[in-house]
Amino acid sequence: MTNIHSYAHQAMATEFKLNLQCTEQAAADTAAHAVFERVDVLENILSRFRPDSDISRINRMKAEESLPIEYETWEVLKMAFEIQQLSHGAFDCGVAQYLDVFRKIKEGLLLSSNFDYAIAKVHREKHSSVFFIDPDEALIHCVRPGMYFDLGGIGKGFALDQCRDLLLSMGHDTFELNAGESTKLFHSPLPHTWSYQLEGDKVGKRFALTKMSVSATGTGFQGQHVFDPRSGSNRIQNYDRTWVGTEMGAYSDALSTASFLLKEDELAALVKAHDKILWIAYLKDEKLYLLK
Amino acid sequence: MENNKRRDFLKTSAILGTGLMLGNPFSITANPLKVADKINIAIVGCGSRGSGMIFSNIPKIPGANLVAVCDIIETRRENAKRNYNNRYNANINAYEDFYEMMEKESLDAVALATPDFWHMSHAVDAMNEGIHVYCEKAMSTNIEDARKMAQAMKDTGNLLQIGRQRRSNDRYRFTHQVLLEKEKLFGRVTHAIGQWNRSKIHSLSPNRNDRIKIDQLKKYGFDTIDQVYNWRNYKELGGGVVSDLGSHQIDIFNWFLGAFPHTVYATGNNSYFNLEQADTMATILEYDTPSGPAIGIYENISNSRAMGVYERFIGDEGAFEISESATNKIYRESSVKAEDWQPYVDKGYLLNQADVNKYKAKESGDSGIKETAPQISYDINEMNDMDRVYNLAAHTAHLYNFVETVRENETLNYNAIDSYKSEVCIYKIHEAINAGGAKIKIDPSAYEI
Repeated sequence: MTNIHSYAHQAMATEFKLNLQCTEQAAADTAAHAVFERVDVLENILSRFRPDSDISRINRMKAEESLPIEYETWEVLKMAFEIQQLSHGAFDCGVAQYLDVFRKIKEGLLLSSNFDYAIAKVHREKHSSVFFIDPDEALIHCVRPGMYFDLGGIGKGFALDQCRDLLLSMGHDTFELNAGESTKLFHSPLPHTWSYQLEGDKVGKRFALTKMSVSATGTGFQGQHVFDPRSGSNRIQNYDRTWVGTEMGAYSDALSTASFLLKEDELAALVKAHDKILWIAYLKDEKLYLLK
Repeated sequence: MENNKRRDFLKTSAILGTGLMLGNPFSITANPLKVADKINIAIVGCGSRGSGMIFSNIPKIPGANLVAVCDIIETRRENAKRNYNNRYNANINAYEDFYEMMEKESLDAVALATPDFWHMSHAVDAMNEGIHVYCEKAMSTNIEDARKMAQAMKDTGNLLQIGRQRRSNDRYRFTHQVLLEKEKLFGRVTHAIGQWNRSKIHSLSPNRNDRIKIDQLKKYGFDTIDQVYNWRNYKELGGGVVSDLGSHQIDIFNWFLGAFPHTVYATGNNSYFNLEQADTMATILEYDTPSGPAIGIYENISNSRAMGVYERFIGDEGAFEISESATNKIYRESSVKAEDWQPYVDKGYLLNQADVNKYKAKESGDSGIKETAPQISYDINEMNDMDRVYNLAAHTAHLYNFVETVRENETLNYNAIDSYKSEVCIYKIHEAINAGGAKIKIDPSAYEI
């Protein structure tokens, strides 16, 4: 492809990138500015590390409170709920306190000997909590607190979906969006395609993509950062890496983390049962497997 | 809903499941987004900030009934109208001309998210028509127009709230109202330090779908298309980094210190982007506060956002850093004992960030050897003992406060007379920069309306 303009922006604790095909430099610059401004707005409302965000406010809710939230927060929470159901709990956005325990141990504030007690306590509190997402309006209801939200497993993919919609509304249709290399969203009208390679140390498979989001989860960059929300365990090594291809960034982002935790027969069942998942790939014992 | 019935319902929900679910367990009780006697409001300007009002703020303000939007760019106003009507099953109208909208719509209030140079005439004309006004900062591009706006509020008795949203941010209000004013937690506050660092001043161009005619632009005070999209960079149209960014934070200096500067020193230049307005500036502000002299130190950088955006206040018993991003910490001065601050922890005001007791089983005895203790800092915990907690994002809370004041349920958190005082020192900073770097004394009478 020609006339590709490339941009990068730090947000959501990673780097977002945009490759945009456009014949005019000024129009491309304006689009990139709008895209990254959108990402910053989403970070402000979705990050639990921003004390004024929707997620921080949800995490402060008390029993029997209802809270008006941003339309985008509502959308992403509904998707998170759907993916939680779809993955039988392997994806879960109510995991902030588990992550805090891992972080406090890493920082030396909590001793490793406290780990099992801390995780069991967090697990107990989470499983006694009750939150409802209102299906009709942008509201969340807290019946009983104890679950704390973290959208780290879905927020970046959701942000790419929002950026895609924004670019399309601005008259751009050929672009590649990238959130920290772990989720990429491609868009182009045929015959133009974007190239994406699934790669292990010794194997690889190349795709020519037009409209698709692909997310990867592995332990290469961040070490052992994935844990199983169903058990609280972070001692997981089913695969070296998993990839999920869907039409939506939010789905690929969340499902790639979930797929890392599921067994091979569960992955096969997941692909078969849900048409939103276009394919799942995984790398295991130096072999690449593709499920469609 | 009667209490007993509600409890029964909650019990049933709990039996049905735990965790995250889809539904409304309180559906029989009053919805927090439903009220009677809504006010009719219009949003003027459908750019970035105006869109935020339309799609992010208004839907969470139960007392506001959006009836119209207005923008000189057709695609902006029509997109806003279509998207709002589709999303909320509404029937709002879209206008190019502000005065036509005022004439045709039955408005209680307008919210202005237009370039600074339009604020005075729209705000004053609306107030003279009996319409209350919410106006994004800065009030204007010059001190005379800002004064006219504050004067119009005083003369007409209509409301004029200026959009410096930190004034309605719960954490800023708690810090001011409880930690500074009530508890005087930090002792004598001697320094205020603030920065707003960003990586670029973006020059925008029209979206591909925008169709703008130059004759139409001239009618609305623009000479070029660039002025429409990048008005902040022109001295006649906007206020550049000093007004756009600095005024938010210097206003916090003034609010938290309880005073306005008697002297400003300021310098700046446009050497990085070579636009009309300064892209880099630094200022020192001298105050006589109720507890003694204080100094404010403030800077804007537009070619690196590495150090972020924050305000920091230093007292002789403690200090704090506050921001709308992730940077928020409270420090106890070493000369103050931990037990002296324990009552604030007990009242729920402060959270000791090193406290991990909730994750620990009971301590099983002391071996006599402990690990090195981490440095202790605090964060705001529960915002107890406040006059009110909005529990809304600051931009929403600020507009909410305006709407509720129109509905006679609250008073403005930041009316135009308060804002005018902060704008006086902002215009003096402009004056010092335009003079090539100068020291300017401000007579106390300059702050009066």
